[in-house]
Amino acid sequence: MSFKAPAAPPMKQNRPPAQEREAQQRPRGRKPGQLSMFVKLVVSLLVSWHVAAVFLAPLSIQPTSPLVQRIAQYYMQWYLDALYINHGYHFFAPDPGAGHLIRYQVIDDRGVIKEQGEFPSKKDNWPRLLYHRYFMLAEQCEVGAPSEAEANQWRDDFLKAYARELLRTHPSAATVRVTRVIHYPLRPEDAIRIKEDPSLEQYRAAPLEYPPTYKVEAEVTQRRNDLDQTQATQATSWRQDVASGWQGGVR
Amino acid sequence: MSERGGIRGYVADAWGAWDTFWFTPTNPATLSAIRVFTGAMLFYTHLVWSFDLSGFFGQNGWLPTQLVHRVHDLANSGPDAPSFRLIWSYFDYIHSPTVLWIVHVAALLVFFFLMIGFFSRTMAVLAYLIAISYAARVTPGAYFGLDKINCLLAMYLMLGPCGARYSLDRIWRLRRGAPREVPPSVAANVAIRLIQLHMCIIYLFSALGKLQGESWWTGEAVWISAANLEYQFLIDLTWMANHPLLVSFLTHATVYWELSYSALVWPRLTRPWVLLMAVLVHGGIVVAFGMPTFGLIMIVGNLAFVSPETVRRWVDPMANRVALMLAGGGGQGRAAAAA
Repeated sequence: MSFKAPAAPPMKQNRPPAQEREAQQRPRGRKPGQLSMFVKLVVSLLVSWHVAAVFLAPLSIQPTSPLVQRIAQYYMQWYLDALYINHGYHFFAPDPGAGHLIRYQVIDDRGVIKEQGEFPSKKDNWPRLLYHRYFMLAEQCEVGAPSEAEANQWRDDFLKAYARELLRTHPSAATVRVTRVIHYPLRPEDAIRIKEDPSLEQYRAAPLEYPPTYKVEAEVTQRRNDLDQTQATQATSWRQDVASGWQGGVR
Repeated sequence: MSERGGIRGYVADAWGAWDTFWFTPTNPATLSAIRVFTGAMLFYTHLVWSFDLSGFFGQNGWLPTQLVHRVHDLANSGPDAPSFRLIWSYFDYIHSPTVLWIVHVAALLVFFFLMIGFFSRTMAVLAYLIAISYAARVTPGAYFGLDKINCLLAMYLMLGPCGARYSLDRIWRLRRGAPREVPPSVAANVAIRLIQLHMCIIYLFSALGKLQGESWWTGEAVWISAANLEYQFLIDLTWMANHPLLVSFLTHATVYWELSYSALVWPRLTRPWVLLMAVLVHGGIVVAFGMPTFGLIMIVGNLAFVSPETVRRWVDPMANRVALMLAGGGGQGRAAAAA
């Protein structure tokens, strides 16, 4: 006759360590830290959607097919916008182009030029990242519009905004004139001539002389009357803001 | 083997490969290192906005809100217009300079905490939302590649345990008796895989975009960039005018490297060379093309392809030293484990 001892009731001191308990409770075949099949399927669907969106965003940049445009812009645009992944990643493409500068003149009510300058400016815009932000202001005036006339209108709207900002930061100014200048890169042969003849060095940055690397593209003028009253009197610093009882707006 | 069995085997193999790719737990060292560098870059990027905060983020600064919104609306016209757009920025709702500065300082704190790994995961979520708000407000107008990469890295950091190493969180956990060895994590692997794929897509489309341009075919593109005085930074590259063959070589090498990146970065044999080229190309952008921040953040993105073991070999000694300083003499054991 065999005798089988009854299993001992689980006692506190006999309980397996926490890791073993966890392993016993885990479905067979799953290693620690691994996910269930259901979670894997859900994650797989999400990453597939996401990677497809990341891929289709640059694929939908013009020129593109109506199919891609429809999928990316009609069905995925909300996702691309919300996550800020709506980019083409066409760095220095299709061709690295000419640089652009914004030149400005601050003019008082007697017509006297009180200040003139340009941005980006290696002298005034420091650190380098700030320089690059102003450089982008000069570069990104161009908006893809259906016609050249509309594109020019968009560019002028940006330039007017820059002029109005200069009016706000120069309270004594009556008028601000803003010019967008294209700065074409030197041709290799011109660079060689400048290197061989140091007296030509001055022309590297001289407008509309030899070599003709600068060209005025557009000019706008804004007068103080063009600022509406609220914009003209808005607070521009936290001190003014506090002084005005938190009523001031941001320029 | 029957045809059905063959298909079943193929599907099982495909799922196995997919499963290994996405769901193999990995050491979070690489993700943690990316957190430190991305946090530092986000902090610096946004600190620089302080020089002209009202100008760039005020309602009527260089880029008036109305004008930026009008540009966004432009894409909503036409037959293939998006169903709806979700471009958002909390700067649209800030009308007071005082509030603007308070929000800005709070954002800088978030980026700083992300860098040092203080409530890392929470800070990663906040950093991502904040970084989008800044970038979307100046898009178009003053944004560039740096903002795109900053945002994408912050996005993926919040998916994984980015504070598992090289963080105050880690020191804190060790003081509370957490095990010295950080467990591998599936979430860390998913985050790293997404960064890797995103980097591949970036380089692929950067190359495809270049192939639409003539100067990348004629070998002149590097010259045009080098001769652009607005980009010129630490080094004057116009000496290259005397070396047209070198200019052509650099132009073609850039395109072929970008084009092949998404294929050659995966095999172990070619990966080190592809990454070395990434360091050279982006290092060149740092010193020559006046975009040190963009060049550096692209190198940080490439860090996703460096194994956690390699990251630990490079970063642990530095992290130990920092942790020793923070923990003091008595905490040497803790400090060594903090890495």
